[in-house]
Amino acid sequence: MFFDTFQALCEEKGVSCTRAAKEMGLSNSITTKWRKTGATPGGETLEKVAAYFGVSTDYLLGKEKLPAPEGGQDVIDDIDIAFYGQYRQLDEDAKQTIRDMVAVMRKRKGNV
Amino acid sequence: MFELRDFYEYHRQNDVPIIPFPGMPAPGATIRDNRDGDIAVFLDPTKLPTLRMLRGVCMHENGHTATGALHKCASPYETVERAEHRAVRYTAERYLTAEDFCEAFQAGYTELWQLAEWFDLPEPDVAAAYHFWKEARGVAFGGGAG
Repeated sequence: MFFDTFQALCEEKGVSCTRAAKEMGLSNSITTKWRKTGATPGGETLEKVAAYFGVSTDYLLGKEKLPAPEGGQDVIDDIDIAFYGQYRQLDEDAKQTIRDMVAVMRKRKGNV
Repeated sequence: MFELRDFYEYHRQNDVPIIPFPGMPAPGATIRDNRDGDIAVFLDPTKLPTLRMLRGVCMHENGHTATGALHKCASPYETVERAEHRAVRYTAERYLTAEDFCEAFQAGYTELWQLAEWFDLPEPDVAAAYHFWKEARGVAFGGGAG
C-alpha cells in the first residue's frame, strides 16, 4: 500500500507524516486519506512526494525496490548473517527482506 | 539436552534480541550489524509449525550467536559452510554430545528418526551433530543413526 511506503520514508527521514505533507505543500488530511482508503496519489502529487524523499515514482508505486543510498553502502554489505537450513543463493526478494530485518533491528535499538 | 529456556536466558543475559519476523527466507536467522556490532536472532513463526522445529532452530541459532560464526550475504559456499560447521560444533559439544548419542543408542534409539524423537529435535540437526562426532571427531559409535 502506498501509505506504508510513505510512512517508512517519513520514519527514515525523521519527520511525521503530517509534517512531510505540510513541507510538500499538501493538505494535512491527504495522509489520512491515503492511510484510510489505501489510495495512491497520481500525477503532480506523486512527483512531489518522490522529489521530497529523493526516490523514484516507481519506487513509491511499489514497482521498484529500495534504492541504494546515494553514494552510500547497501546495508547488506554492512552485516553478517546466517540462515537456518540449506545453503542458498539470495535473490533480490530475499535481499530486500534482509534489509527490512536490519531496519527493524536498528529501529528497535533506537526505541530501547 | 537443549532447553528453550536456556536459549532465551542466554540471549537475555547477552542483550541479544529475539525478533519474530514473518516472511523470512528461512525459519531462523542471526544477523550482526557491523555498524555497531549488535547481534539479533530472527524467528519466522510461520515457518515453525512444531515445537520440535522451534527447538531445532533456536538451538542452531544459539550456535551462531555464541560463536559469532556468521558470513557475508555474498560469501562463497565454503565460507558459509565453515560458519555453519562452527555453529554445529558448538551445539554438538553442549547439547548433543557423544555421550548423549551413546545413551540414546543404549536405549535402543538407533535410527535417525528415533534419535530425533529422543532429543526432540529435527532430524537435520541431529544428523549434523552425529556427523560432527563421527566424521570430524572420529567417534566410533558402532551401529545406529542410519
